[in-house]
Amino acid sequence: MTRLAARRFAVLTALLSLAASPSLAEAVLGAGMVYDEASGPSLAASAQGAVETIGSRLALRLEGEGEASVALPAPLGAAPFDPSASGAEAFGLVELSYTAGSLNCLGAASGGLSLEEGAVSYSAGLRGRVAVQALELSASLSPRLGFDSSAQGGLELGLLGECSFLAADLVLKPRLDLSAFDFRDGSRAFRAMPGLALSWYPLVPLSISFEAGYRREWTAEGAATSGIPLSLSLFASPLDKVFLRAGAEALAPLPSGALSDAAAYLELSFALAGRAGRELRLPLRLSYDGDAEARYSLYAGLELSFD
Amino acid sequence: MSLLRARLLLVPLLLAAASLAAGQGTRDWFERDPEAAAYAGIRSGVEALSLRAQGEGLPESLLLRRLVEGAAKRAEPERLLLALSEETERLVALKKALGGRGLLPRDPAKAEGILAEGSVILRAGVGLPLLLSAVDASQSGGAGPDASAARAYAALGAAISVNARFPLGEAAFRALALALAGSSLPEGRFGAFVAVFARGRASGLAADRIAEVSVAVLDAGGSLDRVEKELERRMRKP
Repeated sequence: MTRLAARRFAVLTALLSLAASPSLAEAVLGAGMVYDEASGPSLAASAQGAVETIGSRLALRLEGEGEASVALPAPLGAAPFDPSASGAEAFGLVELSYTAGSLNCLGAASGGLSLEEGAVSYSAGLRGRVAVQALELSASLSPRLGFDSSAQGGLELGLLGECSFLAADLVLKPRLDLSAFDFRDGSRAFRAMPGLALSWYPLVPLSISFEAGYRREWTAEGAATSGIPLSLSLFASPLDKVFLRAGAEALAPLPSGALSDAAAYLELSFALAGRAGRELRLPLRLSYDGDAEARYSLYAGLELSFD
Repeated sequence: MSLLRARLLLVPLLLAAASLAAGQGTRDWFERDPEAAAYAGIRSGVEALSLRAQGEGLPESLLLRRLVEGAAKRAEPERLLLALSEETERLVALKKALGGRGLLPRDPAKAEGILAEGSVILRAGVGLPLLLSAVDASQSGGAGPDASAARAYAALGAAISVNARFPLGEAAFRALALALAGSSLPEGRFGAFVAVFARGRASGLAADRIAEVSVAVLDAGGSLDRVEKELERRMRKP
């Protein structure tokens, strides 16, 4: 261990010891089969782990996850075998938050590695949030800085300003998101996105979130585009040990208004067995990605979680 | 907690029954109600319980309500007598505990309502010590003497509803109820936690973990939107 790494470890240990409650840990192991309309079947495995400590003022969370998929030949040649469809991803995150009265501050650093279509790329990010909470009203500012080394990626600097207040069963969140991009292909862009998000929490095991806004993007060359981003997500527990979540998002470019960049998923999961701190789940997920060309994929697997 | 869960589904029904006003006594009921004939064998036992309740300063209508409920369900007489006996002891203990803390309103109708609803919470499997801790938490959170019992019941009722669909460990159940009671949230927001738990569970979080995060936010003075943000950070991506 280098001196710098040792110092970082000592700082994290000291922060952990500052928190009042003991550490909480969770881990999820998953394995399953994916059938993608374009690339055929593949085996997927994932592992996630997190440890956190939540004190009266200070909270620290460390999270890591890894995912790998291996492409398989399609039975009866239903789809062309494409070994480059195999891939892997790893991601790590450190979050530190501090709460004092109505003030809440959060700082996070993350990093990831990705192997996709035979190419390795990495990403790194820093983000923060300063929030002030009144009884049923809060306001926050969240700056972020991110870098993605993939061909389509680049450097992003952003700032999200958001208010949040409760009205009946709704949490309403007017927001303004500003971003500046310096892409790896040399182009630059600036984006402004005012919007309104709302979450509905009725008295039944169901919750819905909806977000709509206006997106205006300028390139360094002076060109401007605009559109209306929309997203909807739903979470429910229709029966004991049965969980449903679904989400959809799309962009309606102006002035045409025709939906583009659409993506959606529907996931039904069943808690097959569970004892204190352990649970075995069977998730079934249907995904649609209309980004470049429309493609569907189906995932069925098993997830074992320890908490 | 399985016995507790089995009883939870009855809570809304029992709360509704508890709010019914009853103007007659058990003696009147035995003499006038056609359903009373089947219960003639336990009449002396019921009247003895009624006398004990009145001796402790409890309104007779509280016991009568359970008697009418039991008869409507055609409960076996001996089982009904046992249930009434347990109800009497519950109400006596509750009245002493709340009255001793000066938390029973002077208005007899309001006091009767507090006792009846408290009895429903206790019958749902919540122990008197936890109920009293929730009352203390309500007061610590700023509820006045007249409002603290009702706020504690609302917090316990919300935790019971969550636990009925998303079973919690004993410690998490207790922590959630106390955090709600002592929080800055208005009581009307407590019911939203069933939806909060549905969101977290559908996203792969364990029920106890959702409770821990919610408790941490509520204890720090946070509101529903902070709970949402904290859970979103931990949800598994689809």
